[in-house]
Amino acid sequence: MWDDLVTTALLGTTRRPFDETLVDAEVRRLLPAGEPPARLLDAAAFTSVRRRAGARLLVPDEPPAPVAPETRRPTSPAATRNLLVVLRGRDTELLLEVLRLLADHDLVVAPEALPALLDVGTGNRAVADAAGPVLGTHGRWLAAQRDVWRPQGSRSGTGRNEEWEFANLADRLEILRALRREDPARSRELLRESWSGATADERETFTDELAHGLGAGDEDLLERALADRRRATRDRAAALLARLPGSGYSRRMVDRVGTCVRRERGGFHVVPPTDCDEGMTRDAIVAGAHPGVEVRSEGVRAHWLRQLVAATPLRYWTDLVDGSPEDVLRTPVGDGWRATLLEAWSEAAVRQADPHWAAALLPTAGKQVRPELLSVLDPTTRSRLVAGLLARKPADAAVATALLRDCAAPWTPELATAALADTVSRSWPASAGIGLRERFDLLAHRLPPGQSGPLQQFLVIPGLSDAARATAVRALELLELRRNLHAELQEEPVTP
Amino acid sequence: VSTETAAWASLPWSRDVVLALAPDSGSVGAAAKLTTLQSWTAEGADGKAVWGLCTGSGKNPYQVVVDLAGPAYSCSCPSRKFPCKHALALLLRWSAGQVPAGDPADFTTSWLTTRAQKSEPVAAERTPDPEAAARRAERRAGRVTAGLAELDVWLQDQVRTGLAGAARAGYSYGSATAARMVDAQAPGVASAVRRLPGTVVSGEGWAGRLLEELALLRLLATAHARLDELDELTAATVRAHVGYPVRSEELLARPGVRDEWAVTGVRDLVQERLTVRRVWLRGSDSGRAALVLTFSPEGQAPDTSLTAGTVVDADLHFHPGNPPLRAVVGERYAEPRQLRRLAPRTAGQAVAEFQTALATDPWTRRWPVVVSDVVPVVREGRWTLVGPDGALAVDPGGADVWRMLAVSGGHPVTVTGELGDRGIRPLGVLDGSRPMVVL
Repeated sequence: MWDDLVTTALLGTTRRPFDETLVDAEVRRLLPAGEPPARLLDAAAFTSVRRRAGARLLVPDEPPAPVAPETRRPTSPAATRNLLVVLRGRDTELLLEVLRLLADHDLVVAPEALPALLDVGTGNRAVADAAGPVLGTHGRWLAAQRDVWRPQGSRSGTGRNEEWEFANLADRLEILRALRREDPARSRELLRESWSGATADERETFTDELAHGLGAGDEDLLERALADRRRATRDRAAALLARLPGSGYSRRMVDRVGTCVRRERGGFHVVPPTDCDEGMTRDAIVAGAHPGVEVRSEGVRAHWLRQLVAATPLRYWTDLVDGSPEDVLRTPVGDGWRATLLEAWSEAAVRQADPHWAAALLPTAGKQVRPELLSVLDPTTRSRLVAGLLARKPADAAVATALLRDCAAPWTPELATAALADTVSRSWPASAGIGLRERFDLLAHRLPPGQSGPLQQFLVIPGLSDAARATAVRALELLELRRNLHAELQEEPVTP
Repeated sequence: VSTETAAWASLPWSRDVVLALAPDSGSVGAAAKLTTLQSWTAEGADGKAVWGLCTGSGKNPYQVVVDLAGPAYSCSCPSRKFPCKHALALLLRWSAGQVPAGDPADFTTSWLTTRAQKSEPVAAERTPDPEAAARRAERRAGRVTAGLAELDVWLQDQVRTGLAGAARAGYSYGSATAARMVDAQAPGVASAVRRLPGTVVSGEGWAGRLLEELALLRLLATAHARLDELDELTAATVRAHVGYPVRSEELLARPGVRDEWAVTGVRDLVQERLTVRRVWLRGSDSGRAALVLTFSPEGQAPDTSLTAGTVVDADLHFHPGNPPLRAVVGERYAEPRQLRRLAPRTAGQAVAEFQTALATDPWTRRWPVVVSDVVPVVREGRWTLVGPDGALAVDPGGADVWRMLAVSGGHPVTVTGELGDRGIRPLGVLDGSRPMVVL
């Protein structure tokens, strides 16, 4: 049969004579006369064609359960085409914007773009999160058909113990997040059980994760994290404990600060700590200049004071003066300690993510604005403040760009106008280095897409280098693409 | 070019036709971004050409001209892609009706005139001389016959000394024979021989596959030696596989088959620095299958007159052969429209079609099929199309089979593709409600 033909051909007819009796009788009758090699080839041709022409259908595998009907509208062909272009483009910020737009319009991604979307989401958490609401029934069904996509189709942890036990860090985080929303008590229980068995990386990640839905019940876990071997974990735990006014940590800090800063005759009288005891070290106060700690010109006592104030709940101060953060900042400070306190409060506002304090502190900052403070603010306040700061024309372009970077899209028209005015009025170095590229990249991604007019003017500025012009053209192209994407979705018929 | 085609060509092309001109997917995105940018000036179109000035990153705007006959492109940008993103963007704007009609701008005339001058004398020079042609054909037949006789000797040597020798030769297996077949003016045989090393290194079971290829080559050589005894159509099939050229003027002189031809799939293969584009068609009324082959140098946009997922009302002129499959497009009667539906066929019918073709043309590698009412299924990495009468194996190749699965969602769909010995290589999927999705 066939295998015998192959073996003979492999060895060669000189070594293994062609035994024609092995060939099917019907085929043998058809063979023309000839040398054994010719007859072998002819027999192979006939046998092979006969076999190919006789192939049958296979026994079917069980088909998957069909997808339930889509309840929401899929993207139009034009929108789907654009989404595919964006998916190929590896521009995560743009992709996130498109996904957000689709969700805002209550659309789901058309089936033909789903594999590409799930592929990108596999390696990019932010994309996977943003894709969740626009996957639709088709997307979730499809994700369930392929192992690497499966987590994206079922984004809600069940908290079952065995799953937790065998899950990797990313999956554990997934389960933890879902539980923090749905069953916080159970999430704490899981963490308590697995804390001692967790790796240093896991403990740091888990500590970070406690920031979401933080509550008094997390204190014991945070206290354990405060005793962690890893410094980053300890710092993170300390910052979170300071956000819990009733925590033992907060009370300890308030006691310490109470002895250092007293309210006397309507002002603050400061006596910095005289030493850094074991208790303070345990509460993540750094005694001296550690490796990795910025060496400061201030004295070591000021260094301790700053850390104490930064770790004390900001509520302490507003309670102390019985007023707002602004009232605290207006209170006179004796003996030249004001700068240290301001710095410490800024740090506290960032660590404790307190928007009111951040808003109050920004105007006091003078020229040196801490961009971290901006990140704590609510988006509207941040936009207003940054627009105001830009109007005062910061001398350093990089500072202005950093301010803008902290303002997430979509920008308010006010902020967009300020950003454009700052960009166009500035004289950029002819070399058009990374500064200009970064600025245009921000503008391209975050300007409201209809508001690109002034950038067109930028193109005709005389003496602009080719590289700078090219950067501007690329930004304009991206804005144009975004304008198309927005316009296409506006044209989508509205569901009744 | 007949007058009707010329009149049709003056209408703006559809967006899909333009997009299909792109040399790669990156160009599509780049061009799409350029389309509505306020940087176009001096635009115009006159039915023969489209032109415009595009402000780019350079100091002077780029001069973009597209000659619609061809099409051919000229742009002052430094890009080495053809067409560049500017030319594509201009065509997209034209397609969207954003380019006004007008007289050619100054910067277009010199290039267009040069092109016109170049193309004219070539057409005039080709006066056929039947006697000379007959002499050439006879010489060629003689060379091919001698070459194939040598091929047969080589083939027999392979099984006499044993195929194990092929494994030792590896990638250079048969290279001298392939070169000989080029000299013998049998390009079809030459490329078949050049494909042999691929079979040799194809892993488990290679010896069986190699034996099949060698056997089919001998079958071709034997058939060619007895060309006079074969009926006209079978002889034409043999000649086609050997690689005898067929003049398209002769084909277009044969009666055409007018139908609503559905373009069920397009597939490009790069071989020997040439992009071979296979366009598979299916007649809506006749149910006939057809293949339009075009060749273009690597890196240039392949022919885009037929776009996957469209239906064209046109004459097809078939190459002689049994079964008839390869064809050229003659007159076109209307603009292409979107393909949404195909006449239903079961998996069993699709397999039977392939086998019928094999029965008369044993060198058939693949046959265009339409399989309706099937659910794509993947189990442990093995893909199949499950229909009421059984399952058809899927040979994913480079096809986006996950997209096929996404469109089906576990419901029955219609799949188009190339059916070969390893199963169907999907090229398109229809869910009955929307236009065909290309895979």
